[in-house]
Amino acid sequence: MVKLLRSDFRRLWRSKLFYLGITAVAASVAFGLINNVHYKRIMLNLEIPIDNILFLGTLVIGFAIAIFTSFFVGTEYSDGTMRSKVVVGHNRSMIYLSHFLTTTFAAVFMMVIGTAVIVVVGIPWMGSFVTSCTILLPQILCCLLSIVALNAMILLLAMLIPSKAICAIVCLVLVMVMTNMISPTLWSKLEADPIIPEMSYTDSEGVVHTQPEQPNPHYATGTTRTILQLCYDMLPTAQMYQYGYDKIPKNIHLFPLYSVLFIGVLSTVGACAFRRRDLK
Amino acid sequence: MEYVLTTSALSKKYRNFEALKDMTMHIPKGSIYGFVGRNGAGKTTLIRVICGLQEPTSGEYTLYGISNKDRRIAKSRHRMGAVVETPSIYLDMTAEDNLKQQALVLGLPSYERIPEILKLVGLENTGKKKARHFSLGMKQRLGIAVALIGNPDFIVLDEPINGLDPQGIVEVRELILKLNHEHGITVLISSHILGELSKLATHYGFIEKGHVVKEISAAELEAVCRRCIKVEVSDTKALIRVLDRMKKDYEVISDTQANIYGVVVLSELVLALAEEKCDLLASHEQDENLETYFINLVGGGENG
Repeated sequence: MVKLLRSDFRRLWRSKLFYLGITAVAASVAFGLINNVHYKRIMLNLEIPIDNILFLGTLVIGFAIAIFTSFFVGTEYSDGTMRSKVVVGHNRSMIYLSHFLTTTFAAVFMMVIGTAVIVVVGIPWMGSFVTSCTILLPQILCCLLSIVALNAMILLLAMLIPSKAICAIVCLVLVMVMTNMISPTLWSKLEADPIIPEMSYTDSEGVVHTQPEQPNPHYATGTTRTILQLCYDMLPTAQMYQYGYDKIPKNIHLFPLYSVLFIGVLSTVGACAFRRRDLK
Repeated sequence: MEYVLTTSALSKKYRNFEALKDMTMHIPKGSIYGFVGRNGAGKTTLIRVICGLQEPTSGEYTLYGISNKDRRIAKSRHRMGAVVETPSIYLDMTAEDNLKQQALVLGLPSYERIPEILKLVGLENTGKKKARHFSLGMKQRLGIAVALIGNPDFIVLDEPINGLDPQGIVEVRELILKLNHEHGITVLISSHILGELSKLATHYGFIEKGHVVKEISAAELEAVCRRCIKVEVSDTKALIRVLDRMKKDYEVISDTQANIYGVVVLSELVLALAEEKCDLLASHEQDENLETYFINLVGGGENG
């Protein structure tokens, strides 16, 4: 295992894609920071603390992970070097684990750099943190765990789809759908008001029509609400979505548990599937 | 005889297609084992199976006497290297970096063998050139170098000369011979370029439709393929006397038939036989080589 890790980390430090990923995350975060501050502080005259945008990187890191992990692992397939490891007797589960640890390190490193950009650029501009360290630090750790969970999902695909290009496309589309469609949909369903308030309007003849207060048919209740909430709290992209939008997530205390479960299940499934896979 | 690899009733099925059927083969230690078969005969499948890339559906194989069902097989794999189909090299790395990468995978304590291996495969002067920019022959040799870095005593080469230019073919051939003769490495080499294989192999395994139809040593094959005249005579005892007198190499194959090896002047033979009151009833020239032997063995009707 140590041999595989040393080999994978050597490749990581020499990977242009890794440095490109760091640069892309840092640049996107810097752009997001400037845009956010400019819009809210200058256009809307709103004072926003740096705490609110600390996790801005979560909105882009998913895409960086999708590209980096699929290419990093895909290269092993396209260059045939995955075979070299198996031929000399390395256990496939260990190969999987080594890739998991290496790509996880890369993903976390990218996020840390992105967050560092916010801290370094943001503090002189917006002032220091309002939230205390004891609250902020667990949040940061939970956020990093979500990133690890997302990487576990991408890695599963990367280890099972031998084509680098197809895998990158699948991962990108998946992250895009999960981040930009599933997460906002879950949010809107869970945040919907249970009651549609009373509404009045006057028609062209001056008659006032009143629609009484009524229950919102789209408001999820019972089991549906539980499932939606579970998805919203468990999916790594949904967790990251919650970190990225100005608020402390409601069920943040459950996030680490869900992330660890997510990582455990996906990695076990991935390693088992990889072990049974016929390599070419 | 000591064998590096043996397979016993090895089978591999892909859904409804049986790529290997009860395959049994033996690779002697120190040999260059030429694995001959048409395209799709199962050569690469067997190589994938013995390299651990795919699991056999049934049967077993042993590597240095250790069965694939034994957990210790992983350890015996440390003693082998392989180039399966395309060379396993990182294209965005130099030759030296590729070897360093594989040295780490193997957990080698130092990189001190790298210059020696690069020299052995003739890539010592490639400097900072990335493998992506190597010629096909150079990539192939780098693939072999990667397979050699762990100091294996068995290497598996799947179609190593496919697509190479004449110069590349000569380079790879000389490298394989050098590895076998000077370093005592056992080589399993699959190819359907029989002319090239005949310049290398000490043993052959002929595969057809996932089954090894014949295993034969190069010496035995040479004996079978020697240029000879098959003659049919009325009295083989008289023929033997004549051939002994003429100092010819021969083999009596039945009461009336014999193979005479080397150049035979038929008129001299007929006269000599006549003196012994023996008639020459028929003669056929036989000139087999690896190609014709293979075709005769597997039948040339089907297109590969």
